[in-house]
Amino acid sequence: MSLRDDLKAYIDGELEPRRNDEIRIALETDAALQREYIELRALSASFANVSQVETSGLESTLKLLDDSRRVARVQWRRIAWAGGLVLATTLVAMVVFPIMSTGHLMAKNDSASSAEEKVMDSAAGGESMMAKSLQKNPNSMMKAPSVSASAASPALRQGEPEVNEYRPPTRSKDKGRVAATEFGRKKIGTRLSHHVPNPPSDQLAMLAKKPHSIVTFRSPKTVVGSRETGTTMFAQENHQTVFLAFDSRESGEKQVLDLVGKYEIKVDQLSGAAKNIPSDQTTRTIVIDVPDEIADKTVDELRKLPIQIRTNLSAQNGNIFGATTSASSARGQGPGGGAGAMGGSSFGGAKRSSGGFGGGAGGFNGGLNRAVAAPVSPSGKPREPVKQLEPLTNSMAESSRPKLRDMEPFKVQSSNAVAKNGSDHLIDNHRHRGRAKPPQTTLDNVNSTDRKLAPVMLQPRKTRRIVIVVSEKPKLPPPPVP
Amino acid sequence: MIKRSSELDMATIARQHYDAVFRFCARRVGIDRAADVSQETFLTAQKVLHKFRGDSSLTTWLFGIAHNECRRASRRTALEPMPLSIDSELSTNSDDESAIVDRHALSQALAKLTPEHREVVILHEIEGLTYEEAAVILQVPVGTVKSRLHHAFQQMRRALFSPEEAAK
Repeated sequence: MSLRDDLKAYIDGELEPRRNDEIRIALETDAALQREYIELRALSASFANVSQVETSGLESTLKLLDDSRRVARVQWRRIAWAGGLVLATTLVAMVVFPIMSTGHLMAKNDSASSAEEKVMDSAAGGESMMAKSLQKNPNSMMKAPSVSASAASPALRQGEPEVNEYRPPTRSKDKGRVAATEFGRKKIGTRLSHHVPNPPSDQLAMLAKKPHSIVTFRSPKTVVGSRETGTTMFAQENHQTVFLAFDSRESGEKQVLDLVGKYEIKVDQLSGAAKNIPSDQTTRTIVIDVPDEIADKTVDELRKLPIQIRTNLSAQNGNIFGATTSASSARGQGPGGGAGAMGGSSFGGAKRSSGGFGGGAGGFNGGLNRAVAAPVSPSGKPREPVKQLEPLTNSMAESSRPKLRDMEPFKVQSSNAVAKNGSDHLIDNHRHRGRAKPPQTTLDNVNSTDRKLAPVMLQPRKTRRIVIVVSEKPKLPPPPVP
Repeated sequence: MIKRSSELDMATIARQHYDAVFRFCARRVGIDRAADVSQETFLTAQKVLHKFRGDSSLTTWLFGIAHNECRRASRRTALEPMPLSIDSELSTNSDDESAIVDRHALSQALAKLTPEHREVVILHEIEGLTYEEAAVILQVPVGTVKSRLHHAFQQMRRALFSPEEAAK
């Protein structure tokens, strides 16, 4: 770089000392450079005389700055308010929604329990709410096959009783048993374990304080409650379990069966050992199966459906109660009964392997095999039975029949029995190969005698099972007088 | 001492530096638009005041913003720079070296410069900024400022002192 290039920087004092010295020495010797230096200094000095410009607009600028600052503050305030509002809303939602959902669930459970209690109150009085509901609308029972099918009625929510809930402890071995079962519209993701514990004494004490209370058992892993019916119940695979408490077990049992039989709902079992639900002298279990086929039909419509006729069901009917006796007998808790020998096994043969029911099972099977199949064709002529069986003895039939007679007309059939023996005892009106197919047998065209002697079962392909546990209220000692 | 941005009040800054910014803008975009561009400069400065870290002087920082605002205004409308006016009282002083420089010729020579050369001359000679400060405002290296100044002054010197050489 030549010295001339840095001459302007030398004038402005922007050079390094070394370069500055070089130019200073050159200026002393180089006349042309010195002349250029003088011209540049004169040119640079001429800018010092540049007149200052008249300024304007300071006030307006200051005002604008103030306004702008104010607007910015307002915007920040708005943002802060909006953010605070969102935060507060989120916090409130986080706090309120769980409370609301809990309260909703509690209210639902309360209404459910209230409905169940109402049902039991009516049942104790001789006329159940279920009966009323079915009289008004038979579909309601079919659609929601539980004792508390009418529980959704707002009228039942009046005077809601206290709900006593018992939550059994969680068992680790149940964790793997998850099956998506759906009851009504309520999807239940976890089934109940096979073990349903008895209510503890304190729960029973609470139960004893008021008549016709309902103790609602809850499995810790089971979603209980039906939104549609408001019923709190157990979900045991394909079962719904309703626990009812009566002043006495016998009266409650009779009332429930009476109600069930009145509306021709199939009773599968009456056994303390049903589905491993514990039974003792104060507890009985009634299992009813409501076929899905009839879920949407009225009683009149049901009468026109094709049916199957099972012979000698009068004896089996008796076995329903024989089962009860047998169950108690087998456990050594109830009176022994010969008829009970076939009791528990009558319809619940699949579960008969437990405890002392084996003997009863054998007896029953024997009795059943000896029963004479007397099928009835649609035309009224007796058909040839699939398997010839010996009739039951009168003593056996009589010992198990009386209670059934009280409950007729009854549709009694065991799904287990159907599964095991149905092919032997049932006459399918579609099995007429090579012959003209006879008209379908319906409840209407079966003669009255046959109907009475041979209770009819609809042929369910898929049933909805409800387990009704009838228990006796515990009798507690009177409270001490202070 | 340069204050932190949190301690600065834009109104105070505007009162202190408005004249310099206004003159800077007037020589870039003309006196008619200088007020608007100065206003935009301070409004922009208020928005980005929190970014001022004190690495440079406040004047340099404001001139940098004003420089960008002037370029933005020049892009919107073709603006003519303010013609340079030299104070007659000072220029008539015979003892001064500037007396040998014709005022009109100086204005013409300055107007003939390219915008880059002209703004360097204005920043250094009129606003009194150093090379480094001018480099910060123009966002160019210091060497570029030095080079631009050299070429600008050579061009003006030829126009003022050697018209024949400048005509070549």
